[in-house]
Amino acid sequence: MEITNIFFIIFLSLQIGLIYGLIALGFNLLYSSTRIINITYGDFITLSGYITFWLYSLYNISPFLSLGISSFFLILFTLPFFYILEKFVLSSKNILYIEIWGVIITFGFSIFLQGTMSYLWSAQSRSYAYLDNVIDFFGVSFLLNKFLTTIVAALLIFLLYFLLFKTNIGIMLRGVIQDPELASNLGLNMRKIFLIAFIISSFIASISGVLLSMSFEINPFMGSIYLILAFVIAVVGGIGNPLGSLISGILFGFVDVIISYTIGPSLKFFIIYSLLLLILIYRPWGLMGRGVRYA
Amino acid sequence: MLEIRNISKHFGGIKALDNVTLSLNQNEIVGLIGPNGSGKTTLFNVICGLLKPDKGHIFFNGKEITNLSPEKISRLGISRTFQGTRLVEDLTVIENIIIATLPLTNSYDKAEELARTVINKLGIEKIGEVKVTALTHYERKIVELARTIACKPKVVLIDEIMAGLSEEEQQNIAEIMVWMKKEMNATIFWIEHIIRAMIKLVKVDRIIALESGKLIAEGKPEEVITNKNVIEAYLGITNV
Amino acid sequence: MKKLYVNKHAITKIQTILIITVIVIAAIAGGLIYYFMTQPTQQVAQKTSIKIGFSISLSGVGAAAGTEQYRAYEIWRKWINEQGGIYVEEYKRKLSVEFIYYDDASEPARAASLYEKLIVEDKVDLLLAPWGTFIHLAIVPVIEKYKIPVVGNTAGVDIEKINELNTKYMFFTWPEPKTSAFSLTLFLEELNVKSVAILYAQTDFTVLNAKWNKQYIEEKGFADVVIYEGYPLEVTDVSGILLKVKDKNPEAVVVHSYPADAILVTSQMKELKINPKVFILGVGGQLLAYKQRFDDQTKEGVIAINNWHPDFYPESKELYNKYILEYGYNPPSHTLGLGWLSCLVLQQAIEKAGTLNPEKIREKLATETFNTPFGEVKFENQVNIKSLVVFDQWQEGDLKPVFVTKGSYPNVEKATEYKLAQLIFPKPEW
Ligand SMILES: Nc1ncnc2c1ncn2[C@@H]1O[C@H](COP(=O)(O)OP(=O)(O)OP(=O)(O)O)[C@@H](O)[C@H]1O
Ligand SMILES: [Mg+2]
Repeated sequence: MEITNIFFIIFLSLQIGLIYGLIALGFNLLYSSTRIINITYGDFITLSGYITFWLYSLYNISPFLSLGISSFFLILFTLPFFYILEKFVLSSKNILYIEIWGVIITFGFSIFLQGTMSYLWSAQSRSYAYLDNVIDFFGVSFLLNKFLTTIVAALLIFLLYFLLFKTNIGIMLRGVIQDPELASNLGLNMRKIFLIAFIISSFIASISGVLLSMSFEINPFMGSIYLILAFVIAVVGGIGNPLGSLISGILFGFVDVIISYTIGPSLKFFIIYSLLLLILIYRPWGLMGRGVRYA
Repeated sequence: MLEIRNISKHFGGIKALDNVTLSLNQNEIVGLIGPNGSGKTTLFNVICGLLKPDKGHIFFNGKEITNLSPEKISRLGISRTFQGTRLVEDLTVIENIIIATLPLTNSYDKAEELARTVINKLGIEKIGEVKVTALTHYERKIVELARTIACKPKVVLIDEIMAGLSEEEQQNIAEIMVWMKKEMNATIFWIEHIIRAMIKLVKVDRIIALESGKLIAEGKPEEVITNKNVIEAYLGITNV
Repeated sequence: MKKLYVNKHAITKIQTILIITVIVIAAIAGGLIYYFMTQPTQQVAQKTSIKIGFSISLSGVGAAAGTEQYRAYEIWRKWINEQGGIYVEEYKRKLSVEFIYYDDASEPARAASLYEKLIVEDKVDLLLAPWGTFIHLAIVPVIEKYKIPVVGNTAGVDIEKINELNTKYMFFTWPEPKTSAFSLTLFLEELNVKSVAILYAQTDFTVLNAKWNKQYIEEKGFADVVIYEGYPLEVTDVSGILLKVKDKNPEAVVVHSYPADAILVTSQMKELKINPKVFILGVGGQLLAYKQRFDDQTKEGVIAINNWHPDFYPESKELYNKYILEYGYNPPSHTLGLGWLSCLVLQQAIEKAGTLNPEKIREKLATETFNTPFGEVKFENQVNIKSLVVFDQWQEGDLKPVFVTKGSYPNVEKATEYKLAQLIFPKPEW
């Protein structure tokens, strides 16, 4: 294999892996801190993709500006969503109750959002061309939008790393994730931390939505695919383990691309899901270990 | 200061607490003893809001706190340790303390400053940046105490801190507890099976004894441990 | 409400009831939205109108294509009603067309029960086809049972499979794989390319297309098939295969794609600077998302398989313009063409039969030849043997027809009666 091909493979794996890792991270953070399995998560990604699409095709607003605009709207949208869940679900102390009602309510929201989006914008797939020219980089050619997508994803990961591991918000969040009972006993404002978890998760969803829309077509129902992906990767990486999600996402990217190169893509999903099954049989707590005390 | 009135709590068929009434006075150390499963930890859980009592009331400085959330109770100044230590395993020693000081200060810098003062005071500044998973049993206990101290509590609930420690370690912890009483003016409510430590090392002011969720004795340490009911309840368990 | 929350942390019955109430309300609200989404205004009238029922995929995997197909139906309904409706001899006048339809969420089982409901409860006069091959197949038992013909639509079924079905009521209009594959082979032969790479998405329809495509090229022997490889539909990266293609540097790259992968393959071809003389896509290359995803310069010269073109007949242009006016720009996709074709064939069958009797209409469908602005239609053994296959090339941002065949395998021949655009050959580099 030529060296440029190796470069290309690495780049491609990272491009896919970083986004997968990000998506899984957002899902994981919210679940492990609040115990809400947010079915609407995928639809937030879709919504952000649509915001980007419309801003670009109607007003010619660059998707990079949409990173901010879309996050703003999604976070705004998260507030009432959080309020409802807090009122009806999070006020319980029973984890099973939170998990079950969380799924039911967010599932309802998901159907509502998908229905609304397809009503407003139709189910037709959409896409747009932005910075779609090929650039050369160390003798390998990339599409500029993909290249920038990867860079934004990497930057966001650094930002999140800093947030989670170097700030008080991070310490509190990780405390709540690992032992919510202890955290509440230490006087942490659980409501505030839950809200922060919701906001971070929506922020990640919105950035991912913008980035994905630059390479792939969007439609109102695509969220479900990303939701499943997020769930699988988060479980493999370890629930409650943010680094686990990232690493398992990147791993997923590499396995995905390398199988496509060597064995060919026909068997890809078979192999990936077999590996997954093996991991979950031998390490049910995930590759990197679970970060939660009682899961 | 802390008043517990007619508290009952059951789990299915088990009566973990049965109409318990007691009170703690300002700046005293009260021991809580009783055989395994007598409801001591349950009482702590009820006080700090982790469990809701089936009936009864709890007052703190005259204010009812019975149905407040754990975070609110904590912020009123009631802080606890856990049976067998409970730390955030993913964090370092200092972070484990900062997490408790953050709600008091709301600023990372101040929270860290406060946390540092506490670990300096307890002489564990050397292990400040160590992940808690790497600590010994004794160090974990000290970190948990440090975390409790850092909350600047008015009332401290300590759940079995001496178990599994050497004489010298027990001595150190006893000194810290006495210091908490003297310097922090804290009221300490302390569950312990090693009654010798209570009487000889810390010299508690009072002892309360529970059995099967019922309060069976209360008073001066010497009185309680010679109480017939207590000896019966403890038969074969104590090492007085 | 406030009082109910005194016991904040327990799960009280009241909370449970509240939550259930919220969900019920949400479900009703959702249901209403659905209702307004899926129910056009329908006035009940005494045989002044023909009730036509169908289920269509407005959500689920087929939502994108299903929406387009539904809109095509809707445009036809408006168009025919503007002319007063369909003339039915039996009533001695024109009857307007009324739709009753439901979202089948791309689920075959649901579609089957919806068709039964349309027939039994809604008492529709006639039916239109759902979206997608597997849903067509799922409703066959229902229409056989109630003996109501359906002019099929987006169902790419192999001839053997159709014979196996042993259906008398489902009529297939989409050129079956052998036909489109043979047509594609004729096109490649005319271009005189010597080496071809064939890639395909792993769906029944595209696998068959690729298989026959390869076989016919080899039978004719004008070119070598240097790469023949499939990939799963949900693929996120095909560069592994494309690097192999790049190595072989074939003159033609043919991708039997299914919507989403058309974009992926194109963008990675561009990224890897693979520049064949001809680049042909299957389903997906003619859709709106494809047009939007790439700028005109990138698309220039890319070819997509289709089955009509608005420039061929004024009536199809009229429908197409109406569509654009109503729904905004859309390339003249195969979905639109098939949608209108099936409506027009049904319309002509009604006119020819002079009645709404399904059995009589079926007879007409089985025996008559229909002249439509989407080419001639004649069913033999339930399959259209006259079907058009059109190759459209992206030129300056629009799809232009560059090669057309008519007839079904083995009688596929180049059609010369249509005005075509000048083929851009070889395809400009990315
Ligand atoms: N969450 C719970 N669910 C069910 N039963 C419980 C729960 N917590 C405690 N119990 C039961 O309540 C009783 C009192 O338990 P508790 O932990 O308060 O005892 P303890 O006095 O602290 O004992 P030890 O000295 O062993 O710590 C026991 O029978 C215990 O099994
Ligand atoms: Mg205990």
